[in-house]
Amino acid sequence: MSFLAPLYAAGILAVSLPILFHLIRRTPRGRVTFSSLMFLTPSPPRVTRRSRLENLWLLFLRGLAICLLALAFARPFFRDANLIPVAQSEGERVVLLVDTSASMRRDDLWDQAVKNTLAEIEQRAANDRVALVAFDSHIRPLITFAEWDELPSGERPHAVRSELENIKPSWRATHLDAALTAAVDLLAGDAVEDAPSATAAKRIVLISDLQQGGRLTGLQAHRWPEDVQVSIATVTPKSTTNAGLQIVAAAADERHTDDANTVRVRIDNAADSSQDRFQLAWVDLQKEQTETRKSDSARMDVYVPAGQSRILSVPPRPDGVKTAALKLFGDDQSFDNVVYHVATQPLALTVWYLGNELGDDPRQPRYFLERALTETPARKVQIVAMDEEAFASAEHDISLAVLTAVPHEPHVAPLKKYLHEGGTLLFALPSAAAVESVSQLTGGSSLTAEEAATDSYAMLGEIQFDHPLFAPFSEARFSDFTTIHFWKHRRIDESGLPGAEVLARFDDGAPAIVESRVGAGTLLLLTSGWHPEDSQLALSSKFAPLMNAILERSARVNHELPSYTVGDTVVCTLDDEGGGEGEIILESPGADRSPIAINGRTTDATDAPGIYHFQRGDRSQAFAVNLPPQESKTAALPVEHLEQLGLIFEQPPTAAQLEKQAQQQRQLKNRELESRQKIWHWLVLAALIVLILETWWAGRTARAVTSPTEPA
Amino acid sequence: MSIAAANSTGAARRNDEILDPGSLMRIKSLELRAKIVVQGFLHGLHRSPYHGFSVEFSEYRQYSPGDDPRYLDWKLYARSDRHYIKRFEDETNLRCNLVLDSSRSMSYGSLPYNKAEYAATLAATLAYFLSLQHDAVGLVRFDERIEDILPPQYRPGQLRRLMLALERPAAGRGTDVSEPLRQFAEYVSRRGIVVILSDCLANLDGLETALGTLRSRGQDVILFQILDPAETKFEFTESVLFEDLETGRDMYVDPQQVRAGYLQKLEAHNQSVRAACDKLGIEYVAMLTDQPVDAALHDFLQARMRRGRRVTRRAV
Repeated sequence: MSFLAPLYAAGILAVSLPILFHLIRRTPRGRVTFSSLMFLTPSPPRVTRRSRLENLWLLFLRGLAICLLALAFARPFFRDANLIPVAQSEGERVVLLVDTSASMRRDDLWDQAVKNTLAEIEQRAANDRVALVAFDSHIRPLITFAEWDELPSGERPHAVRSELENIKPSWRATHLDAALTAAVDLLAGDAVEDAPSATAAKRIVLISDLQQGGRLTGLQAHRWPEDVQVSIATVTPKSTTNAGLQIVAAAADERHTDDANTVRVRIDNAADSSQDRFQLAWVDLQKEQTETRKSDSARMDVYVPAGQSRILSVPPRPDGVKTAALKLFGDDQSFDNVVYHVATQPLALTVWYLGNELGDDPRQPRYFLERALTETPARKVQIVAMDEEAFASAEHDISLAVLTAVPHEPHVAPLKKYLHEGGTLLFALPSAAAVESVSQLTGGSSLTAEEAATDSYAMLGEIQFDHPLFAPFSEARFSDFTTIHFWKHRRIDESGLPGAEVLARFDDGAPAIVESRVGAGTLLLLTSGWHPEDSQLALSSKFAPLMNAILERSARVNHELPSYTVGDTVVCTLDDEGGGEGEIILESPGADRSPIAINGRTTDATDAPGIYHFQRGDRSQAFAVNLPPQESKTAALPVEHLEQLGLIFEQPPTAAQLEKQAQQQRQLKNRELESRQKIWHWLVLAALIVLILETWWAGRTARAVTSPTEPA
Repeated sequence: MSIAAANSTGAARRNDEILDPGSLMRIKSLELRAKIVVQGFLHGLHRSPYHGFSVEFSEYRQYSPGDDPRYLDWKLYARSDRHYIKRFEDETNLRCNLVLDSSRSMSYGSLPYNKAEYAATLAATLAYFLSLQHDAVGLVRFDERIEDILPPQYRPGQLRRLMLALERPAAGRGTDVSEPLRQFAEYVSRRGIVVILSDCLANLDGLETALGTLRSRGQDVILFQILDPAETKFEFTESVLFEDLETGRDMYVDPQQVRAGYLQKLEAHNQSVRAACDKLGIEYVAMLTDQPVDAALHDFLQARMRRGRRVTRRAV
């Protein structure tokens, strides 16, 4: 038997009161003031010497009544372990946000997260409503509120466990802001659906390693609702040393420099790392764990203090390997220690030169063209003067056609075809008469031109700097073209080229560079030449950039480097007209092949870091997918930072509070048991009966005492 | 019974009714109380056994050689052919100091009035009586020390001031008879009568010395010890907490147990007061508050008379 209010049982002590009253004779009842106590002596209060108790039965009955009342007030009940109390109050609604980002791959973080989640589920009362959501850069609801409601309360932990067993930490970034916002929306949406329970406490339990790399920017614009509290069940790794490795993309203008193939990496060492010495080496993709070279010299020692980052050039990678990975050694956490790198392949570009000369005469245009389009690490240019048969066979390989003389008759047809199929032809008019062949190539109305009459020289006047060809010169320090003197130029009648765009004019108003669409292709008409006889263009600093711009535009060279992070939308850059028919296949590092949409985009195919391949027909394009660099910032995020963003945190219960909760739970259970058994009713009833008995007995004894004296 | 005798008994009865302290104390004005007592006293005096007692008689003295002939009563000489010295004025110009205990123990009373009120009435009566005789009356109130002093004077308004001083409530503390009397003895210089009204419920150490000092300074001293009947009989029955009026001390007392001891101690105390008085030739009068006030007046006059006789005898 237990008591709900055991302190009331102390009332049993009141039994002693009647006995005490019985024994104590008379305590002084009042006070008397007296003039002086000088003649008085104090006398002690006396207890009666009568030790014999009269009316023992009355005393017993009164004591029994007091005992019964005291016991009734103490609310006794019998314990019954089978009874599970049903909470009276309304349950909470809780969203469990489980972090599945790449940083959760450290140590046993995922096991901890699963354990925490299950522990959280265990704590839930039967009337709580729970939704389980996994998040990284994507948000995946695993169990919604509706599904939770449908599950029988006994099976809920099993359902959660099986859901958690099905998922593993991904390689994606942590978008904490999106996850928290989505959880708030989930709570708000659920409250709307279920109007009566809108007052229920709302809580988000974030089960995460809470690393600094998590994205939080979205929370700055989000007003956190006041009724949603967040509690964090942080999982912590055993060792905190973590250095991340990322490839630093080379700038676009470095592509033609000699160190274009140098790979630079950034090594971030987390703020709470205990290590600061690491080693870096290339590893073979097929045997990722082993180095390509066994010698120690292949490893590069790196010193990065905790909380800092270093950018360094890595040693040249092994020859003949197209796709390779760099690995960092000496780090406790291995999930972010490998980066994949795809070397940019030098482009092989062919320029079809149609001119009258070979390339060795410094007075002729080809001499300058060859020197402007020299080979760089990014591309290899071949300037050829092919005949029409060779052209026909290699039509698709030609990136640019350059015409500096009146074309021979046999060349006109292939050129025309080339133009119409999308090729670009740069035509530097050698003379006014050569304008005839322009008409032939465009197939339009005849164009007239005349040799411009200049006494001294002409300069470029109006230049369309917003055009892609001239955009690199648009800055003020590069836009001065006045130093280039044109000794000769031809004045063409631009009305003969309808739809043509004049990119530059001479200072006398005559068009200098005209771009005209011919079929699918482009005709660039230069009304002067760049060789010294015509102008100073070839000798100027503008010539090489201009020619390269024309070539790259013509060859559609993509400046984007093929490198992505996990979860990025990848775009197939295998150009549509570049050949290769049929659907685009994406081959993952695990050799899984999946077709992707015809626009060449896919959003969720890259879910692990590695080297991927696009395949279209017989052409293949490799690209590296790496871990999001933010994931390497694994130092713990201070919770204050989240508080600054407006999140309202539930105070983590102290041991005393937990004890108090447990006590309350116990109390609740006891109260319920007691209210069912209601033993106190019977005790009060018994007390009443005893009191009635006592009254009767007292009356009887009083009569017995008085009756003998009545006659007197 | 003669008419005079009948008148006398009627007056005495009336007087008794009025002079019953219970009914007397119901009169609010102290002066009126005093007047009633004194007038009743004087009224009965002429027809009382004390007939013939007069201040005048004692004021004539037979001439003896060396007396100043200025004070010869020539009228009497003419009538009786004897030489009498008229010392009337000298004798009546009496200086009386009423020394009243106003300590807290005096505020005890088992009757509707307390000892302090009784003592004040007594003092007022004496003062009124003396002022009727054109004597200078002063008042000294004390508890542990002398509280206020009204020097003896005979002038208009003195009696009124004295009554007001008597009516002023006493915020007294404990009683110490010896120390105030010693102080008073130092203060008083001229000969006179000192009437002490106190319950004497205090430590008696030094009382004899103080009284002796007073006597040695030529003061005739009368000590009225005023006690409540409850104090002298101690007829309490229930065991109660007794609280000392002066010190506030509590004491649990079973009266049945302590009564005998109390009475014995009180008696011994009173005896020692009386012994000290006797030793010094001080008139000691024990008074209970249920006794009529005029009895005290009577005792006073008796004492005066004895004193006068003693003086006369000494003079003879």
